Amino acid sequence: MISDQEKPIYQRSLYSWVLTSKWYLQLAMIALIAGLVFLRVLPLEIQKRIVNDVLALGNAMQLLIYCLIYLLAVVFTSALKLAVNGLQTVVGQRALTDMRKELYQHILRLPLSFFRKTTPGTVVACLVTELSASATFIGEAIAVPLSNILTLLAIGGYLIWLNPLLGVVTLSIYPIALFVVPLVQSKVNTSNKSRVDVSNRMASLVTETVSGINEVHAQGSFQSEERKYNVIVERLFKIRIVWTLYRYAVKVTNNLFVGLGPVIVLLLGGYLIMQGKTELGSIVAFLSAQEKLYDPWKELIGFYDTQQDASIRYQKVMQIFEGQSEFNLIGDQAPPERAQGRVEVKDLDFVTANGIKLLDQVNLSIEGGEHVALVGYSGSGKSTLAKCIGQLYSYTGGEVLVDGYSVAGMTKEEVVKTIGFISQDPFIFSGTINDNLLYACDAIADYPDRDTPATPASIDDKIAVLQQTGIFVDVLRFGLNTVLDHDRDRELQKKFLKVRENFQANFGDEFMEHVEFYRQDSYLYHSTVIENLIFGSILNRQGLDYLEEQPQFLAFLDANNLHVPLLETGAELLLQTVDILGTDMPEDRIFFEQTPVLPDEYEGYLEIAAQLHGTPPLELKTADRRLLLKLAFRYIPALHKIIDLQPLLEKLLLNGRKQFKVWSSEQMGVAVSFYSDTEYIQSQSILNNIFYGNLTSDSPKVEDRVNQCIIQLLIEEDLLEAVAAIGMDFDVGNKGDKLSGGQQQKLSIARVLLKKPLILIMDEATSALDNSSQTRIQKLIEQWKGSCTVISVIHRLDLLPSFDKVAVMKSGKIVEFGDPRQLLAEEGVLHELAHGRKR
Amino acid sequence: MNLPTGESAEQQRASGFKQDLEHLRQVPLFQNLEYECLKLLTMLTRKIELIEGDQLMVQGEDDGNAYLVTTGKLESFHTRDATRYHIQWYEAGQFVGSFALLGTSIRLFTVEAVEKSTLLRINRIGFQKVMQKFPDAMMRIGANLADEVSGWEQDQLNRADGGILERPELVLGISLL
Repeated sequence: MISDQEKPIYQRSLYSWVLTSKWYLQLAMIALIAGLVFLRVLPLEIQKRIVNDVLALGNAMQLLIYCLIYLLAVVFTSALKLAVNGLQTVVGQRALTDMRKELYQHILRLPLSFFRKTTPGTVVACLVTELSASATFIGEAIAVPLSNILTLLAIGGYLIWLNPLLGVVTLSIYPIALFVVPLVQSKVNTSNKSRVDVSNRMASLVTETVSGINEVHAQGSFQSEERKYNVIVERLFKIRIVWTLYRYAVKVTNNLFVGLGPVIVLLLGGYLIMQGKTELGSIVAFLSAQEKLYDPWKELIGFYDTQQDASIRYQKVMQIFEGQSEFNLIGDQAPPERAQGRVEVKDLDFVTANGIKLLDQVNLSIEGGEHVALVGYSGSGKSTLAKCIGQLYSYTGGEVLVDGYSVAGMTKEEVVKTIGFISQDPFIFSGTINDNLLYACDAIADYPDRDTPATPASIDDKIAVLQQTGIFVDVLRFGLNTVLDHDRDRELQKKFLKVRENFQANFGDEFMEHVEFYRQDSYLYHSTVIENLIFGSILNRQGLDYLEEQPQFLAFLDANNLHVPLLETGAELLLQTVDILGTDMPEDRIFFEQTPVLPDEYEGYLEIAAQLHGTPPLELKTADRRLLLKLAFRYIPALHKIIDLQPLLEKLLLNGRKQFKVWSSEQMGVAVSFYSDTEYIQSQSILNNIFYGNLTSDSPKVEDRVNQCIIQLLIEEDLLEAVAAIGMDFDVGNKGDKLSGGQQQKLSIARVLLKKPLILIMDEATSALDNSSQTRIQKLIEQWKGSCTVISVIHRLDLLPSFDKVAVMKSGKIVEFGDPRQLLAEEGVLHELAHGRKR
Repeated sequence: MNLPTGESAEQQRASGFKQDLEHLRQVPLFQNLEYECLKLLTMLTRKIELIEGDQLMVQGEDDGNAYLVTTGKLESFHTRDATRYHIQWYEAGQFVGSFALLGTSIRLFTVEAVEKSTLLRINRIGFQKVMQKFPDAMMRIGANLADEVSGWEQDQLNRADGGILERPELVLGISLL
């Protein structure tokens, strides 16, 4: 029989996590609890002795000793309680961490079909929120019931020992409470189940809406999304009210029963004293014991609530993730070396859970190194067939063989080492280009090295695939647009200065029209006002930021007649922005691309704009004037086209540039690096350093020419690899949103090519690329004929001639298979697909 | 003075916003648009400069932009079996590629600068955001587009000789789509 721990996680009980927690921590907890129980009973006996013996005899020393013992008992009780709580937390959180790790491991291996019916929101809510209650329960699972039941028994036993009749009557309340409380708790559980379901639905909806926010904005469907959300929130509101009320009802019911205790003691105890059948000290001990009984009882009821809540949440979570992985990750032995890449598909069927047949008796035979295109109308089963061959879908009938071995029986290790799969919708992970490029190779490296260790991809390998897929120039551009760290890369900076020299000597004249060179006596229309004034960069940590807040700098502006014109420029920029964008503009970056106002600042600037209608800029509050100066400092005439650059301001700034050099040399704490054609400019990108200026042209031909020249210069100085490496450290943003669709697709192709698979499956992998990029990749793949088997789902039929064979699919079947030229010549399905149906 | 792009200092200082706004007002597609809407649209346009041989759009690709030629000259052509077929010339004031503003539009023609040219570029995402803010504008633009297509077809009919009417399915009937 399989033990609970060996079962798949979704079949394990909540209690099994208690048993797998660290045994020595549990033992330590039990030892502490034993001490705690003793210390809880001790004060009762001390109280009785003080009332009955010490007070009657008037022995002060005895009173002092008893009070000291009482005090020590209280202090040690608190210390032990703290220690027990600490251990509970460690045990609970350890179990939660293990549970989360195992569940995540299980989720990642679930079949793709699971993720079509389960939203990311549900997965996140389960892993992050719903399992937390389990941690509380597991931490308390031994300590709380044990300590409190023992305390109850000890205090109960003590009371019966003191006065059997009064003891039994007082304790008789608890069995009644034990019967009534679970009745109310069952109502709590029912509401809690509904709460978990609705919370998961809410998480799913929010995740879906946030993921599809582009579509929501594009369609303007804000109200309908809000309606859907509001319905769920209102439902959750009602459920939570009922759930919370029932939880309070449990507490109130419990308190009611416990509250009856002192009444019974006073009534029956008072009667027994009057009858001389007991002593006053015993009644004092009884009344005190009522309180001491109440604490463990309350904790037990609380624990009961925690246990019920955790069980329900745990069961619900595990129900969601029921299901087994369709493959083994690794086998007992290293996977056999596949050398041919021959693929055979025999009588293959794929039927969905709803009974829809997507593949119907598909047969296909592909020799090793052969290139086969899969084409057909939408829904004909091309992608499904590709996914079955790549083990992404588990087929329901027939088989797929690679070099004679069934794909269904292969471990994932074997599949990823043999097959490279590139999907239509590439996913780029957060991180750098390098992280994404190595994603597939790193995955292989994570499998155990049972024969030869995997060789990490070299920079040359990476550059080669980046070039092959046509993203190398983009990566170089990312590198060239990087601002190097001030204190790092000193040697590199020197080399770039050499490149600058060569650029000026070889290409300076050619690019005269397309580069705005940094010249001391020229205004830079593609740079900010502050860069024009300083003609360099501030080396302090804050750089150019906050200059508008420095009194000495403001005095410098005054002295050079710049303060007022700059304030007026800031005001003009703001008023013009508000005039165009209005007052209710959403914080959408696209609307703010041609104004120095940033989207998140707009609301604050609107208040200043309102004041500007009646107040000159100079009479605004100091803080508002500084904000206007900030706008003026950021103003770039070539970009922020909403206003004209006043000739007077341009003249004053050029004059101020000369004065700034003198002024800054006299200032303490202001370190400036001025633009100089013999020094590297710390604040500028590598590219601007090479140009010693800004590129001003949008012309694709100029850009191509720039790329050619820069690459040539970098090669001459042996810097190409270094710049590519800097470019590979470019952060691609959330889901790669800093890359274009084409760049994302090229990167996803590059990461698979880097692992050099024996069989390459491409599921419309180049559909987001422009024609020239598609052709480039197609030509690259053609070079691998004979060495790499390629199965490619394609949409563009003009690519067919480069394939050895084509399989034409219709309604889940292969209806034609053979040489593409021959099939195109015949008037069959492929001909119809290529030229349309005959009228 | 540093004048890298060949523009005068006045041109470099000048924002061009008002001028761009005036250019857009002349575009038939944007006729009768609310002034506020047109201003916002101008805010989202970007000036681009091309040199001879630069391709503005490429046959078979979706660039997602429409362009207003402000200076220079461009040519559209269609390529089939490596042969280039001239379609039309574009000069200052002409608007190119408006269908891309409405949705994905795989270009059927390539447009290439035949001399140094400047254009205003409107991008689909920006255009659609402006339309969300001014929903009525979309109705006007739809009507303007329909007028343009009908006008173009009427022009074809007016100029038609016997040949075009003998095989009308090749070039006529677009306004009936």
